[in-house]
Amino acid sequence: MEGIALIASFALTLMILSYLLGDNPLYRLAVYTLIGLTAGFITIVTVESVLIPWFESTVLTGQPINIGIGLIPVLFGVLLLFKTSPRLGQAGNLALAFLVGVGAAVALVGIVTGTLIPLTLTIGDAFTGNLLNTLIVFIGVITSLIYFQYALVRKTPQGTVERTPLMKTLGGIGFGFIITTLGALYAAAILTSLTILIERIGFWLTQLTGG
Amino acid sequence: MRRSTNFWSILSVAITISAGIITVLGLLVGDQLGLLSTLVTGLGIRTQATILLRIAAITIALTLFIGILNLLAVHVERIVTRRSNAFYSVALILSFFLVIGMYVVQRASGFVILQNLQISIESALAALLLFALVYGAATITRRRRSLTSIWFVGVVLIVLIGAIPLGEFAVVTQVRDWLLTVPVNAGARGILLGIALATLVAGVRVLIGLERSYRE
Repeated sequence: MEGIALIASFALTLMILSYLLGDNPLYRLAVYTLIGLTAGFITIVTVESVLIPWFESTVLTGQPINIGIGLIPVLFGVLLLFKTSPRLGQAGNLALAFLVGVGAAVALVGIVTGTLIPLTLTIGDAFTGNLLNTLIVFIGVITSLIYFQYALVRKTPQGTVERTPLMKTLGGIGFGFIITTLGALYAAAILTSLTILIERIGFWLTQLTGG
Repeated sequence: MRRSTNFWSILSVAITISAGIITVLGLLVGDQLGLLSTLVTGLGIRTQATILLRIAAITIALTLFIGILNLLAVHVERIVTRRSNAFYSVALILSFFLVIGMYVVQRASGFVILQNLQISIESALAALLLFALVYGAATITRRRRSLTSIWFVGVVLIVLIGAIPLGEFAVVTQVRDWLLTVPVNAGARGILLGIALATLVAGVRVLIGLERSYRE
């Protein structure tokens, strides 16, 4: 079983890497296989780890209140299917409204407790050490934020809207910091994919040479 | 007709605001906020928030399930109507049922497929990304030669070269380390704070009913 899977795995790896020669049927076949496999695993995980435990703990308990709560997601699922109908689409919005409300709340709580508070608390770390570096970090954070804001604008005599010269300069400095960050992230992505490629080559060499 | 549209809209906004506020209060309010904490505990808002979160998670799981059924239906239709490229659809359907079938017959074999096939394909795709990224960086400087693109590629090169153990040319490593600790740190904090503040504003707008685009 494992031997067959290993051969299939090698073949699929070659099919994917064949894309280096250009888009071809072998590459597409491997990608469609990946989609099928992923859909299969998602189905198994969704049914076994999410849906069955939910219905067992609600609908199958036999208590009316639990049955009611257990069927709410089913009702929402059915309502979402109405979104495809022009006549009943409004009813589908109810389920969407619920998801948007809970989603916005989770995002809000997550961003406050996961980003804003930790970033504010660790801001002290950036202020230790070299004063010049600290100043650069301070300017970098402020100007990066200024680059993303479009409130302080003025109207030109031609009627178009543009940033004030001060905001344009500060935003330009912020843009430099953002480009530097994106460049570093791009390089990190290259290093990560290079590591994965080396790991793959190493894995196959080990399998093929038996050592 | 107009009255009916308004009714659905008002109901949608009411559901969003009530579900959102209960979830925020349930998740955010701890035990040390005096009257608010007493109110949240007394009204059982934390339990309600947990139930709402579970209902949302199950609804998303159900929509995912419906999405997969739709995917299968589309590809089965492509096979039945013998459209061009139906061969790929056959591969998709077969691989889907291979996973389900193996899992039903022998639970452990599902993980053999995951380990050998899915991880292999995903790793190969990630490795393929290397060539796309390098090609992308090379074409930026050729097609759009500007100060920004040269700066961008310069940073990419410094970070890449700095990752190599160069020995006596350690100055590149030092420049890379400074770059990552100071300007990249600043830019990343700026971007993260920007995203956080924008999410906060968007979330509050949804919760107070100013953002209602989901009604369309």
